[in-house]
Amino acid sequence: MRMNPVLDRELRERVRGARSGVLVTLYLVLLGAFFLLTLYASIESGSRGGGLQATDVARVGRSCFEWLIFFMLIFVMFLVPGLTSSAVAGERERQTLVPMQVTLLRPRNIIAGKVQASMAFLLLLIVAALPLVSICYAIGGLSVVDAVLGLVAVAFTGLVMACIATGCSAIAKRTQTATLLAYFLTLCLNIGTFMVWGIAGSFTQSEPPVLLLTLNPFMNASALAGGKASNLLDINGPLTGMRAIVQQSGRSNSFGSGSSQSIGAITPSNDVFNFAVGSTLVLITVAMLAVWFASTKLRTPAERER
Amino acid sequence: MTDAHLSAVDPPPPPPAPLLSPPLPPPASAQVTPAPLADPGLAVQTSVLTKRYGSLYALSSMSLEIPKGAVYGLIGPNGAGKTTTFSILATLLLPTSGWVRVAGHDPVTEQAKVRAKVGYMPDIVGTYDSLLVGEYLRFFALSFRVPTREVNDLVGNLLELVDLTAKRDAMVNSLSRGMKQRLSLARALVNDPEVLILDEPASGLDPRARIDLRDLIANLQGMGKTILISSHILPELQEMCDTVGIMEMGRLLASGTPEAILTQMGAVRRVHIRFADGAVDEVPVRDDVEAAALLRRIVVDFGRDVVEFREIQDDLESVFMRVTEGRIQ
Repeated sequence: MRMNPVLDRELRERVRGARSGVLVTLYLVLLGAFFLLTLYASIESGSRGGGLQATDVARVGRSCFEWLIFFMLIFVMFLVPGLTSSAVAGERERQTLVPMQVTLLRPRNIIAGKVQASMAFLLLLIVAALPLVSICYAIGGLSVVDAVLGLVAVAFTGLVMACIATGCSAIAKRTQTATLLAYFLTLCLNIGTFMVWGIAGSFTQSEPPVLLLTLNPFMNASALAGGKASNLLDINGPLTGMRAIVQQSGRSNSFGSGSSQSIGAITPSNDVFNFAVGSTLVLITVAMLAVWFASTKLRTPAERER
Repeated sequence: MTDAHLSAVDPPPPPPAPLLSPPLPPPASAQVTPAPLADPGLAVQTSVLTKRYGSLYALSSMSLEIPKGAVYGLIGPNGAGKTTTFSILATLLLPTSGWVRVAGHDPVTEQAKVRAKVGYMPDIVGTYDSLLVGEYLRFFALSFRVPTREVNDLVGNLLELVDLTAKRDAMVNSLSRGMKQRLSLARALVNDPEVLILDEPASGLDPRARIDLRDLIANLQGMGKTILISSHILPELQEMCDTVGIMEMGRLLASGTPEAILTQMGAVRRVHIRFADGAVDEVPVRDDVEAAALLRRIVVDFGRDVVEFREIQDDLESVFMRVTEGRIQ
């Protein structure tokens, strides 16, 4: 099976520049610093002045992992749109799009190569963070499945953001415009959805429908990363907090099966599972639409007129 | 002596008719017509090819036949329709009406087949500055589905052809403009095209690089490639090309060998007259008899002293300046 030539070229360009190395280093330094702070705070909180019990240790491990995934998601939200928004606009600016368009590459091949290159960089970020994940695993409260689910959630979020940023890049003629547009959409998805959800709640007496939050990548990641262990522990992690919104909403609405028992439930929640599935499908649809749109914008005038 | 004075002596002949009379715009309902079977002797064939943007005709009823192995040059001012023509041939634009065949295929309905047989070099050379020269060509070779095991040899051969072998492991951004132009030409050759379309390939090159490019094009013609070139540098185009087309406002005003165009555009003979008082003028004449009569009338009838009376021959540039009026749409 042949490697996509666009992916091959993008990878060569990325590893050659100093930017990728600097970004990964900065990412690791910041992630490590945040992780150490979280670890310290969790231990302090868990010990409550005395020593740590076995369940406290598990709680610390799980809490640290949730915060780690949360910080990774934030970095993905910052890095992926910034690095991907030049995908097509950069080709236009460099006047390299036309020579590529007259080859046998189809627009979808070009877009696929661009998204794959972003995913390769994202994979680098995830792999670079594995030592921190393994520390959480060593502390306890985290199964291998939980760890994998958390990282899959980060990867999926990155994929969606890469597709959206590629779509922005295809619309804009200049990289700066594409970058601004990509960050604006990232803000809309992450904060705008919460605002809409909050405003909807102010108009209704009951909890607003959690359906409004299916477009929110953080909510999606929290639901995807919701492993079984988190349901057995009383954790104050950010992902657990977001899952609580789904469970609370599930009790007062009918998004899920309504089988959840309480926040930080002792039994696994169908609401969270249903939300994860629904939100993932919605985000996959958004990503596919963005990729399709980018492909149409990459067609030559002849292909568009046809 | 002024033009007005001379015209009193002998009115200049009427302006020559172009080889192809400017055609009437096609009707609004005109559509792209299916191309007939390709003529095996022709590399490029167009018939009443028209490209319209609203009421603006970027290309108007262009009919053109370029035999295989020819080097054909398109001359015209900015906005004449040269790039539009090349873009249609390279499958980037669809014609509004008329039909076209490139390397035996229809760019409208057989894009992939045309792309496989055409090498296109746009007027602006875009490069990936973070790549090595060899990697740059490798990318385009893979984009044309050249088998991976053949890519290294192909890249080596192309770099040798354009005299950039020593630069294989150099960064693209370290190349001079002339080298980038040659690299771009090598890129256009990665699919071993039958037809090469070069849009302003000599633009911005120094004299040395232009000579190198001219030799390279001659070399490629020797390999049997059909080459289409657009340029503003008319004397060089005249040197490089077998046949030339003159365009303006989307119309092909004349097409043929430079000699045929010079002959058929008419009024290529003029006499340069320098008078004893320092006045200079040029007067078109049809033949030697008319030139002799002109001289006799100046000297005998008007009593002017003439110190120089010689024939001057139009070159392609002066024909171009005469038949084009520098109009833009």
